[in-house]
Formats: sequence, structure tokens, C-alpha cells
Amino acid sequence: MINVTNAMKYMGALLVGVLLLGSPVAAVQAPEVLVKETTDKITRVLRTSQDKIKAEPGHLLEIVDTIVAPHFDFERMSSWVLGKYWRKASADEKKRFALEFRTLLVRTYAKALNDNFDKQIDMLAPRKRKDGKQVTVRTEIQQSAGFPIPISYKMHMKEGAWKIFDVSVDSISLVANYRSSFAKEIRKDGLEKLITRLADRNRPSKAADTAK
Amino acid sequence: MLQRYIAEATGFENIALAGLRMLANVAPDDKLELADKRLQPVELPEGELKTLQARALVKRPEMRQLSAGLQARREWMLAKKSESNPNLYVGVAGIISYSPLRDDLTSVSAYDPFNTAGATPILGLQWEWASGRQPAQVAQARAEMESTLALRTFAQRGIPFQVAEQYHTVHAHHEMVQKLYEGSRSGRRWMISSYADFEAGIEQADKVISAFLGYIQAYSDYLKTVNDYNLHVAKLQVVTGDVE
Repeated sequence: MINVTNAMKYMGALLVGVLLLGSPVAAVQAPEVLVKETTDKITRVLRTSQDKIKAEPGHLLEIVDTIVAPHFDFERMSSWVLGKYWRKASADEKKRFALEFRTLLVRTYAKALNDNFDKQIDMLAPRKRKDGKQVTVRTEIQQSAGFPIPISYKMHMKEGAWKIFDVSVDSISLVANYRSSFAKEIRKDGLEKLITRLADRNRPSKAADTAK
Repeated sequence: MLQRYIAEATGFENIALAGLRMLANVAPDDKLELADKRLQPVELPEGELKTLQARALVKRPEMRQLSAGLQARREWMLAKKSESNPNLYVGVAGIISYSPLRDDLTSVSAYDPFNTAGATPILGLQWEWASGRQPAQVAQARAEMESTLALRTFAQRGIPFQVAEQYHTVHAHHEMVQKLYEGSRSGRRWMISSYADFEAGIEQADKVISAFLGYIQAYSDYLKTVNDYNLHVAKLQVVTGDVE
């Protein structure tokens, strides 16, 4: 019998690579080096923190928020995800949406990462744009059964550091996916309703339901 | 339904493990663990059909057995035929004796076996004539040879057909594997997309479950087809004589 919780766990596992980014460093690292080193660091931290995470589920979010989140360009992601609705949104709506969207990503992928930190992750050759301003770092998560899961990070230089502005899981661009889904929701119910839904979903009790 | 698939998969697993144990010379009761448990399609065998058919006619053990058998039958028939010919014996008989302390008799009328030497040719002829039995034995040997010849002719027609049948089966399964791989990957992408939306609170759980089930179904079909494909490749290697 397949239940919702198990299905969520399985699908969460597919998104593991998204969080495999690490702590900021003083010098500018090549994006692929940044991903590799951070991957090693986050898996090491998660491996040694399992007891605490089990005792305090909130600790997982803290780890991911500290190690991973600084390497995302949430502002750009938020604006791309909303597209034309970003330009139309008020400053307050932008702020609240960006906050909820950030929480959504961290929350979703923290659980996925925790379920899959012991998997082998292979680094593939990065693809660099000719002007050198954009790089796609490609990785593959090996599965004990099933196809490897390709995860790629689109990164650009911002304020002297490489930042992620899109993540593709098995060729599904999360930004593009959310852009399409959110646009549909906004057309139907408006941006305010979307932000409310995200906030509702991000509430600790709801988040805990899906993380189980 | 699920139990049926589990039972079937367990059966496949046991068969594969038994085969591996045999190949690896591992006792049936010893534990055998696989380093890589993933089921992946093997490489598509190289070579065009005609090449494989020609190779099968050379490498198949049946063809080698038939060639050896045919040679033996031919020799046997020739041997039976030769029995109708006379046996001719040719030889040389000789004598030499030397007794230095005895007087040598020089009289031509006296036989002196103690101091003599000589040789003579011998010619013999034997002809075993069996008017009815001998031709019958030849005919029997010829019939046996011809039956082996007929077997070879049959094999020369049958083996290429076997190879062709297996070759086309392998290629059809190879294409199925490619298509199901794409289908399975698409199913997974649908699932990822649905899950992402669900986490954002804009997709219903039942839609996510549908996507999940769709992926599982596609992936199950893919795995089963990969298994069938791999087995058909192994069969092709047997019918071409690459594996005995």
C-alpha cells in the first residue's frame, strides 16, 4: 500500500542535490569547486548530526539555512518566478513573497537532503557560458536502484561570489516550473492568495506533516 | 497484484543468483552479495545479421559436431567399400646363420643350415568375397553418412533462422528499452513537478499520488523490459555460438 507520506519521502529524495551547497568562503571559488566542497561539508555535518536532528527536527532547517541558503540568489529567483507579476507587485508583496519562497525551498530540500545525504554524488563537467558570467554546475546522484538523478545548478556572479539562481532536477527547472504554476495561481486568485498559501504551507505544523 | 510481482521478481532473483553461483564456483549455501544491484541494459551486440549468421555456422557446437561426425561417416563408408577389394600381401623372408667352428659344406646337394644366408620375396593375395553382405554394409554406411549430411543441411538452414529470430527480438527489445527509458524519465519529471507544486501548496495530494503511481508503473515496465532484453541478448550469444 502506498501512502502519501512515503510518496512524499520518495519524491523528496529526488530533490536532494539542491541543498548541496556550502558555507561561504573568503576567496572566490570556482563554482564547481564551491559545489563540491559544500557537498562534502553538508553531508559530513548531516552525518554527524542525525541524533540531534531526530531529537529536534528544527535543527535540520538551521543547518541547511546556515550552510546552503547563503549561496542562493533568492531575490533573482523570486523575481524570475513571478515574472511580470513581480514588476506589478508592491514592495511589501515582493518582500513577503521572497521570504515565503525562500522558506519553501529551504524546507522542501532540507528534508530531501536529510533523506539522501549518504548517496554517492558525482560531479560532471560544468558548462560555462562564453562570456564567463554564467555557469551550470552539473551533478548526478547515484541511486541504489533506478536512474541517477541529474541535478544542475545555474550560477552567476553576484557581489563577488557565485550564487545559484536556478536548480534543475532531472531537467526540470524549478524556477520555470514554479513560474508556470504560480502564474496560473495568480491569474486565478491573485498574488496575495498565493503568498497566503505559501505562508500557510510553510507554517511549522504543516511543514512537519510533509516532512514526516 | 503486488504480491504477484514480488513473487515473480523473487523467482528471477533466485534464478540469477543460482547462475552466478555456478559461474563463480560458489557453493549453493554460501552467501552471495552483488556489488552493483542496479539493473541496466547490456550493450547491443555488434554485427549485422548476415555476419552473425555466418559466425553461427562456424562457431555453433552443433556445426562442429556435425562436421566431425560427417568426416567419421565418410571414412567409415570408405572402409566398408574397401572391404570388397582383395588384400595383397608383399614381403621378404630371409635367413642367415654363421657357425665358424663347423666345417662349411660346399656340396650343392647337402643342406647346411649352419653357415648360410639367403632371402626371397613373398607375394600373397586374399580376397574375401561376400556377394550380398558386403554391398549391404556399404549401403548402410552410405545411408548413415547421408543422414548426417541431411542433418547438416537442416542445421545450415535452421541455425540462420534461429539467429535471425533472436537478432530481431533483441533489436525490438532494445528499441523498447529506449522508449520506456524516456517514458520513465518523463514520469519522474511529472512527479517532481507535481511534488514541487504540492510543497508550495498549489497542488492536491491525489495529483501527486497519481504522478507517483504513473512513474512507478513506467519504471516497472522499463525494468521488466530491460530484464527481458538482457536475457534475449544472452540467448543471441548462445545461438551465434559466442557462448556455449
